[in-house]
Amino acid sequence: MCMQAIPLKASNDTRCEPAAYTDGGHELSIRNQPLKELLIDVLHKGAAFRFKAKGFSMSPFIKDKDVITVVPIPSYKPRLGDVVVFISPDTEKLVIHRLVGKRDNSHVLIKGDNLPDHEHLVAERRILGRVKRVERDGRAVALGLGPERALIALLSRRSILSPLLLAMRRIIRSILGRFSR
Amino acid sequence: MGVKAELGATYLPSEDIVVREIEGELIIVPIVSGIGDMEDELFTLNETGRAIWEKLDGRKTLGDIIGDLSSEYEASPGEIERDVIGLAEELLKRKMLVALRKD
Repeated sequence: MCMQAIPLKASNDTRCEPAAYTDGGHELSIRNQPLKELLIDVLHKGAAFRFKAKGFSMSPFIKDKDVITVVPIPSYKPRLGDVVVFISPDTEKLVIHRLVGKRDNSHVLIKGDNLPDHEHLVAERRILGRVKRVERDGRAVALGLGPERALIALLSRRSILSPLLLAMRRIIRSILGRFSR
Repeated sequence: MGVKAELGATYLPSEDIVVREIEGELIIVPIVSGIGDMEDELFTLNETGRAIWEKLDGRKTLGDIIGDLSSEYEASPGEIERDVIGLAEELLKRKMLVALRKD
């Protein structure tokens, strides 16, 4: 999930109506680099950061346009299965993927749930935060962030997760198809 | 009841906000309840708001800022005063601006 362009909604609800001196109420798209800087600033203040993500690499656990909340990691030791926000060593861009293993005391293995390719080796210091909450259509989505995350990580690392999810999708579609006939 | 801004008082941006210039726009993210909420709470200042914001540095009083802006812009002092007080009160209401204590 590379957050290249993320639509952000300026305040326009009844709690915080746009005022005379603010340009509120319009969609604002922030590219990866400035978003990275904004995210770092907010997390450095010890605050969480809530924004709309874009991309398909973490589907079905995080889908395109889901709203995610990232929490800072002051004394955090990454745990197997955590969905983390990190700066890619290849592109220097902000990426959200799952931690699927550890290499040594300072490096971890990270992989997108929906990506068939191999995991990437990332220094722990590049991890900015952990995804604590995912919202889809205004509702919290818990699957993928609870205790099951460790199993998801193991399946993902062995490249079983994508085919398994695909097979499950086919079965569900087939069952639903029978009922709709 | 609204928050009153005083001409003789000095104000500066709250520590509970993150401000960044992104592609020419000044983006302000208030940190409410420990969350910088870009989905529901995001502000960008328009040209007038930005000109005033950049002078709210904790050193100048609102009166000083009105004086500065009067020499920089063609608007009448009365109009500038309304804008400065209006923005300061709006930002104070949203806790994005704090008054500097006089010790």
